[in-house]
Amino acid sequence: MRKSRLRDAEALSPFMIGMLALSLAILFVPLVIIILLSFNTSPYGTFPFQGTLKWYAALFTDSGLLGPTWLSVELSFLVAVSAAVFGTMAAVWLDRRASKIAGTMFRAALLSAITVPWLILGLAMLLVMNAIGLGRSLFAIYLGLLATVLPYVVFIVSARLNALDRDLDFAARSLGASPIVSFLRVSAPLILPSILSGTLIAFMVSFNNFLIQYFLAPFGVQTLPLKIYTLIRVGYLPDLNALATLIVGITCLLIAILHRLGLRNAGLPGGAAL
Amino acid sequence: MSNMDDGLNITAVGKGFGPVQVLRDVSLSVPRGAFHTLLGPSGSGKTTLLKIVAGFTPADSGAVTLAGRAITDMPPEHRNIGVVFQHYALFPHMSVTENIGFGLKMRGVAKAERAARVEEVLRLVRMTGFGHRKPAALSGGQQQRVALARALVIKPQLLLLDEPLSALDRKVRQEVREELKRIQAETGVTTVMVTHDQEEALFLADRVLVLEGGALRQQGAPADIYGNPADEFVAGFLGAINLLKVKAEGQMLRLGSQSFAPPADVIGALACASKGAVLHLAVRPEQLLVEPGEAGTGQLGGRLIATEFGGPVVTLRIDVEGQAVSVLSLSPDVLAAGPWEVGMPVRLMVRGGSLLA
Ligand SMILES: Nc1ncnc2c1ncn2[C@@H]1O[C@H](COP(=O)(O)OP(=O)(O)OP(=O)(O)O)[C@@H](O)[C@H]1O
Ligand SMILES: [Mg+2]
Repeated sequence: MRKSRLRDAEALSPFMIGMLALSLAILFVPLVIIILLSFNTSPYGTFPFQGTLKWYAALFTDSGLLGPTWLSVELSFLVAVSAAVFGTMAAVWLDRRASKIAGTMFRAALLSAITVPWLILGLAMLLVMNAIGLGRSLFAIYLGLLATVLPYVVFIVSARLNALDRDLDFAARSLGASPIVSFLRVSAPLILPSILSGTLIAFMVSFNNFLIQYFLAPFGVQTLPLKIYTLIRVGYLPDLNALATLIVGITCLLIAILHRLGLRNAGLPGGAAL
Repeated sequence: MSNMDDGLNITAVGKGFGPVQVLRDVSLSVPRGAFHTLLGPSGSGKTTLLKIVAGFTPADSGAVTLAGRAITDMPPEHRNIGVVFQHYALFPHMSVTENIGFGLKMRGVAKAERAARVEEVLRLVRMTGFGHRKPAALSGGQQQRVALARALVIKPQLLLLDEPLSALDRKVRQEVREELKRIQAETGVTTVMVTHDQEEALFLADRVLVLEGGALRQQGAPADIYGNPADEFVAGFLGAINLLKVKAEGQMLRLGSQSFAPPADVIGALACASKGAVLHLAVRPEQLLVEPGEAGTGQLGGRLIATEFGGPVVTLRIDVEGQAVSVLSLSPDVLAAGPWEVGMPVRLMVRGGSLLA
């Protein structure tokens, strides 16, 4: 595995390798700088570098960042869990659908929800929320984020369900399992890794989604992205760098978990979850 | 007759997918304890028929009864039919023991009895000691045995097998095939097996049903179907066969310019044919005898095109007035009768066969 990857790299032209290095640098250099600055004493990002943990201390005592962070985490958790439930139900329906046309239309609708820019989606959602009387509210953010992340869960779980052998369900049925028991005992355990992957991705997309939150948040309610947006305009302290570093760390952890789930899936017949 | 009511009865079952008619008016009976094979080319509707019997797909018309019960509209979980799938369909997240125990669990069998019955059926399929393994850690042949055990442990009233051996390589296939025959005899379970391998069908079944284009073409004992195919399709589908275009000429048959004596098997059928009628004489390669030399009266003459050595047997390809004929003989016989040279004249004796209109 590792060897063949090396050989692929050798086959790339120097130009390609240069482009690859450049894009990776654009992605990671700022991250590294933020992480470094979060441990630097100077609040203005000036050198010499003097190590400190005071920004971390500040973050957890008097920064005003923790409130928005928890709001974002709680909101995204709720959204991700809801997306897991409804998304799995939708994926199962897609898999067992009686009508091919209805399935295709549903898929197309979900795909457009992924492809339409969030800017437009957010604006449209605000219009709808106002029209139905929800306006800008926490519940509106919840609904908006749920609609935004649902397609990810549906597509990830569908792909897995699709790869599942239909005969597994038939086998369970012929052995005496009702449709529900067959689903719970046979299909569900086999698609569980993909449900978890979908949930994690839903969480991350929801957590990050500034635009939808910006359009639907009531005045005075600040999720983390909204808070950071405000701070950047008025100037901020390195406690934000400390928070960013923690988030990067947690994200890496989540990705590692995702990867593990992906590997576990790949061991089963029918292929990987993602 | 009461025997019939105990087994599986399929009456006038029809099924279409959209505009395509996949099964047409299929009726058949499998008596209790019998082993029938359903033989047919790809796309002939074999799997569809099994799925209708198992309850996975509804039939458009017709009825299915099992042991006297109408099961046409019964959900599969109430039918008590064991199914073995082409690709095993073992539950990948369960061990062998859990796979086999699944059906018993669904029936509420207590844990201790479950363990005992799983052990017993593992012994039946000669897989004792593999209980803790996951399906992925088994070979194809072993997985197929587990699939069989899982279907048998619920003591089904009917066992359905959909090409259970086709995913196995040749050597393992023969091994599992013999196991299957033994196990079916030991358990006495009524069995219908789908296959498109004619050799397998003839070896295993006490009755073969030939399906083509969604309709039953012929059913009968293996030797019967092989020896007396009802039509050209069945004749050609079950092993190699020569279809000689002949004309009825009183007591004799005419092939091109030659007149020859018909085999004893077809004299009766020939008597019914009108003079000058064009018929097909279906002759298996092993029903022909060939010798070097010109044909005498009442014999068929031809020219040797090729000899193909196949170990214990030799196939001789012969041209008889433009019709290609193959003859299968035991190698020592052919060698003793030689020498053979391509292009030399040979004479043929027809020792058996059947007449098709
Ligand atoms: N769900 C379906 N929708 C549409 N057509 C189908 C469906 N299932 C089967 N068919 C069609 O019905 C016909 C018979 O299929 P079936 O699977 O019964 O064939 P088979 O005899 O089992 O063939 P094989 O030996 O290849 O397994 C085929 O032409 C197939 O394309
Ligand atoms: Mg089939």
